[in-house]
Amino acid sequence: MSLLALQNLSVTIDGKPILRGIDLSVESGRTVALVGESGSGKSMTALSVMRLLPRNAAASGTITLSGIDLMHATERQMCTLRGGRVGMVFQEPMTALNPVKTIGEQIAEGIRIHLRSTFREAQDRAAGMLDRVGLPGMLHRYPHELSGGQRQRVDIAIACAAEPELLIADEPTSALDVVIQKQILDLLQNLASERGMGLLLISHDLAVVADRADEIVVLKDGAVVEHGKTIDTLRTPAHPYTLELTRASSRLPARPRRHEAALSPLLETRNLTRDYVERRTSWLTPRQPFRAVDSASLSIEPGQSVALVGRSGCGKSTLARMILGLDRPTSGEILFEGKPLHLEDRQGLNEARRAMQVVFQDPYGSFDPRQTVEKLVAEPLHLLPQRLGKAERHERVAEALAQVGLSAESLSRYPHEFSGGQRQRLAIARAIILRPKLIIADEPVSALDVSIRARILELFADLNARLGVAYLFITHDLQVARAVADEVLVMDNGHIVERGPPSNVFDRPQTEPAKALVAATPDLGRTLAQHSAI
Amino acid sequence: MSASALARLELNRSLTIGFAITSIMLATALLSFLWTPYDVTKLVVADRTQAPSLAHLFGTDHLGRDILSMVMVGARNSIAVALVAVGIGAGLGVPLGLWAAAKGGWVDEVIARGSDLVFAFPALLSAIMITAILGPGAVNAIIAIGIFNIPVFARVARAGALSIWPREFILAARAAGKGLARISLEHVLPNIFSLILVQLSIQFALAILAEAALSYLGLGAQPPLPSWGRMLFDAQTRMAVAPWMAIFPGTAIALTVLGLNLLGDGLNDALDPRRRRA
Amino acid sequence: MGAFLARRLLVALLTLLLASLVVFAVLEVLPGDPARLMLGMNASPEALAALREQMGLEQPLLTRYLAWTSGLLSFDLGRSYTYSVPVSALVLERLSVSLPLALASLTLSTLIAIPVGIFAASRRGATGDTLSMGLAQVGVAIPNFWFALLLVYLFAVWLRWVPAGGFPGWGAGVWPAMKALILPTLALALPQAAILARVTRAALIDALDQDYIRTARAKGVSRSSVLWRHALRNAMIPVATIMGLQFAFLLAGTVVVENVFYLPGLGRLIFQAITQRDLIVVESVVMLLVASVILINLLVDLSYALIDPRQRVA
Repeated sequence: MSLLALQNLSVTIDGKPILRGIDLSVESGRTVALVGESGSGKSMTALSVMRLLPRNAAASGTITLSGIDLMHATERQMCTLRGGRVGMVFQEPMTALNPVKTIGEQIAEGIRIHLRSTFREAQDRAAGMLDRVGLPGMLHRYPHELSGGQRQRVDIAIACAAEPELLIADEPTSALDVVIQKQILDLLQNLASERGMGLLLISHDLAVVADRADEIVVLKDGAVVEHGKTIDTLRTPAHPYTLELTRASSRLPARPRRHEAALSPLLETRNLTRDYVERRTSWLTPRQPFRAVDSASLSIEPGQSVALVGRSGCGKSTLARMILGLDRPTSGEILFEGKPLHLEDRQGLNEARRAMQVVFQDPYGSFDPRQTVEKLVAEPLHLLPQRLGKAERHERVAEALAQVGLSAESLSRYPHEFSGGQRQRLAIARAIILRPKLIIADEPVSALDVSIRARILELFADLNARLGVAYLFITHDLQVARAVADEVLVMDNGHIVERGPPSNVFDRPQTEPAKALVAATPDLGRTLAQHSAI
Repeated sequence: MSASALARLELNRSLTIGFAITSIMLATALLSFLWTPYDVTKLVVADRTQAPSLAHLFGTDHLGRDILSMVMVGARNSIAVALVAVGIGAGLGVPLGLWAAAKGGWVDEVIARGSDLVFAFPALLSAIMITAILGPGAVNAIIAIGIFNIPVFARVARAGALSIWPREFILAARAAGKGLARISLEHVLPNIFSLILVQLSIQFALAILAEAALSYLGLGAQPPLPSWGRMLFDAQTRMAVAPWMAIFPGTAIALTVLGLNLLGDGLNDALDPRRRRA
Repeated sequence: MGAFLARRLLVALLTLLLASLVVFAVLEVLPGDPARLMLGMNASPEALAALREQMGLEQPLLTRYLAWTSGLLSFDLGRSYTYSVPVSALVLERLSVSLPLALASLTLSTLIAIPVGIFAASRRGATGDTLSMGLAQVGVAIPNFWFALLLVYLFAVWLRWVPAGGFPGWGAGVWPAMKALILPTLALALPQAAILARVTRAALIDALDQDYIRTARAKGVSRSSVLWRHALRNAMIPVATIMGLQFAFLLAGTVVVENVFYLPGLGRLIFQAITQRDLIVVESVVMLLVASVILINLLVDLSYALIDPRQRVA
């Protein structure tokens, strides 16, 4: 008998089918990966098991946990099963913890419910659990005092506190950077194996689960398209969708080297530094300045594609904002086409901005929801010294849309009518409408599903070839950096610690931060290669 | 506004009822300019304190005036005072809030401290102070209620704007060289408009209540112009013999406020961004 | 925490200082000659001179302001022109009516509103929720002084359970005095309770939709304990904010309701003082009321820090 077995599970929300006949099973001590792109129904599957679906959802089929029928269990029975026999870890660590309770209280609560321990015993167990997840002595801390990775450890401690037999982890690392991701996944796997728990690991990223899951279940549009042993399935996918996913997740082809050496750099920063004054915690202690960027010097040649990689919080976005004139450097210099940029010099700044545009990460947040595509894409035309006529503006927008593969019909539509990938095309259209020489792209593909990610990266490469645009790509994803960059800069704690061609940096990293990044980055190709060698 | 938001507007029950009540009250106030059953300034001693009848649907007061006509003219007065006062509050408060959010730093600090200061003076206290030096009048009520509304709108606009400023589309606009004022007008204001609309209906309802209280105390519109609050003051000593003198103006106040509150609730539901995303 | 307290205290003191400047400017500087304003156009020159002397109007503005504020700090509020008694004695006497009335109303409205709000939130969409919130919607719309009139009509004129107005004084015994305050308390508390119940429900429902509620449910906390143990405390921030704002409305409400019931409280004192243009009483009582609003706002800020650890940073 399986620990967890789903048979023909279907869920509708307001009559709309979300899951269509899912079959899935998890055995004790095994890890099963549930993989699919956003909207495929992964989270709904997990919530069905917990019986925590939204109110307007209706489920049918059977779900059994060690033979107990979960579909027909009473609410009271479910309360003893949730946390007691099935623990769950959620995606968003920043909001998953109650802000007004200490983490000790939140861990102890489950222990007191399920193990009926006294207050003291529960506290002791909670302290032990915190030690185990690597947060010793933090019993009396509040969630806001912890980082994202630490909070996710607390979530794991809560889920495992009452020693459940099954652990469900729903995208537990999607909000964290690669180094933390590896630590969290290692922790989950170690806990599962030392306690003999079954682990249902939900992820959108094949590379993440490839070397961790015994079995894999691929979900598309609410239905299972393929399942089997992980390595076998990924090496020889039977379903075209799985094949597409593995292709998109595998190492993207490196771009051809350029050989022309430019006479002068397009963009240069010299010893750029940015200090932030931290909020005062007490009037007795002096304010501690926090150095986000520390004497960063870089240079980008015309047409060159440079990737700036590093963990979250390493200062890469602050550096980009200073270059764009959106943040004031504490010291140092920025030169664009040889001319220094100053925030006070509005005219000079706007002149530089005409040749330097930006693409942001979030395809949903980067457009004003209340303006039409025409107005949004035309926004940078504001930088032109003369105002364009209506017809000319219309034409420029249509031309930019055509460059990114969108039709002129999109002009009068609103951003919410587009998918994530299309919106990122709109963002690129907005960036190229002034025919800039440099585009600064801040994590431009990290919010996209893998299949769409590959197409957007192709578009970037294509524009580089056709229009000769130089790029500064800011990313935490080494796969992306490898695919797009001529040169890679590795940033850590505000410093640029390593630089060189991608093959050097990624295959033979020299510094500790670069080594840590490379080691933590999941790599589907490498995993499959290692397993074939055995 | 998208088509789906419009569809929800129509389906929303509180919105429909609230809109209906508010429209009726507004229509009554407008009608009073053209026609009332009786002249509210004419005192007919023979007709005094008459119970509701076919001739006087809402009865008459102690001076023989027709209560229905007085309620109609009172509606005009209440709505005018509330409209101007809330207009002052929103007209000054929203720009201040947008400015505070855009500039931050000392501008934000000064506006926040100014708000604290004004919040320490409930409209009634301001009205009392103004009346003490200028004597009573409808203008006092407008100024007192209006001043108190400024920081209310400033806080709503500031909080809304602060949630918009970190969004990436604002960064994109800044990268396109747009200044703070232009971004506030083009991007921030349209995105917090629904918040302000909801607050407008709430403040309008509160202003009706405040105006009634002030005119009840004699700090608002002065006789012979009828006002709902003053009518209740006149009714107070005659509760035992002429309860209708209290019932009709009181119901008019409650109904107007209820209508506006329902309108606000309905707008809030229909425009809630969390529901829009779904 | 210490820095947070210090900062809030400093802000409150600054607001108090600015408020005193505003009151002084409006009532003593704007009128030009306050003595003439108080006595009217046909006052005799001797009376005017005497009042100017009493109010110290010959002295420079700064001296007058400092004298007034130092008087406020030592609770020496001057002599009322109309009553010819020290304003401080007058205020203390009237406070013995207004303070119990305000506190009783605040307590009663909280005791009604919070349970009703919790009840409605825990039965979201059910009949009990719809019914109680419909009632609250009506309660919010009813002006408190009209509600007071209706209460008088029902309980005093018709049923004759309680007096229609007036106050026998605490000297006449605790029960008769309390009896005189029952209707005023109800008139103030019920409309307030309606607002507070709606806010409590909305804040709770908002808290119940948060991610941490799902985390708590996933560790086996039942639907009802999740409300009590996780949502309630988070919902208390907006509730405390509204309670602070309501206190200001309550003060205003006291002025109105004291007039309905002919209660000799602070509200009636200030109201009579404007009709008689007794600026000395007006400025002191207004300042006292403003100071109490500022004090309550400070307490609300401090309650944020008790409720939510994230607020404890300056």
